[in-house]
Amino acid sequence: MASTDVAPLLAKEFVSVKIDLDRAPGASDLAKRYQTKDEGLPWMVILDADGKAITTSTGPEGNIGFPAKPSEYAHFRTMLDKAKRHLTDADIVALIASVEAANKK
Amino acid sequence: MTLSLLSLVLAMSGQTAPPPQQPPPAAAPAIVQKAPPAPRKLYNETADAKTQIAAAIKSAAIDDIRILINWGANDDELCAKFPQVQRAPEMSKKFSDDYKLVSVDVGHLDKNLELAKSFGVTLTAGALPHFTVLDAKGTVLAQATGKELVSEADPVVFDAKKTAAFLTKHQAPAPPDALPVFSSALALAKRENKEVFLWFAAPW
Repeated sequence: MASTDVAPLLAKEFVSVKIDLDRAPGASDLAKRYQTKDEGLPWMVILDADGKAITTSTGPEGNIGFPAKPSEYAHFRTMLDKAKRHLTDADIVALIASVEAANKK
Repeated sequence: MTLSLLSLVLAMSGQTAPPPQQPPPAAAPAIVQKAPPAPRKLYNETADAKTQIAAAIKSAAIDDIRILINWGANDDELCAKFPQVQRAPEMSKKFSDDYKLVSVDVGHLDKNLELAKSFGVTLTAGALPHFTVLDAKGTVLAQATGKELVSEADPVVFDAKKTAAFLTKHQAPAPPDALPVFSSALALAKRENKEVFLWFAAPW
């Protein structure tokens, strides 16, 4: 998700923070604030600026991780739709397309 | 179909199984065995090494980890021992968390030598394998010959402690504490009227 392909679009709406759950001190404590169980990696949560969770990458079929199939793209889109304030629908379509394109590389 | 399965099928259809009969002697069936797959070679002899290295750099950049280029050849005795030391306890997580490993075939010192030179490596007979550490931008950070990392007792066995020490010395520093990074992100999001996209990952 830190791919240069999608980073500019994400930056329009989000401050993106990647935490290395294996190596960063304090990472597991931070994860526990938002996870009720081990969700696998990568796992994403979108927060408001007060740290309140808006939506997570845990969809109807579990954690989508890095989206790679239609149901996962759909949940990723749901996440973005729930959180969007600055992103347009066209941005979201472009963002999903970027993720799909990254998967095909 | 085995006899017990045949009995079950017949019972379900209301019939009974015929009494067991001795099977007629038959010639032993020919045993067709597939040839076992060729063992995967440590150094891919057909790969485009430049592409391999470029892909490793791109991948390492995502997690800001190092790249270890292992220049070597499949028929070199010491090169062939490298997988053993990779499995040593001292090397735990070195190639899952800290390094992307790229093994580049140099054949009989007749392949990829110019590529090696571009990383500051001049390969000579008896000097294989050779290791080059790159940062996630592709900058050369360190070099070591295989001979520098072998056991004093046995010059064709890698010393796990020496090898791990070399890798530890040049690996990327640990990521910063998660909580201050997270707090900074929240503060920035507030200032810029944005949200925080927080994702947990690992460098594997």
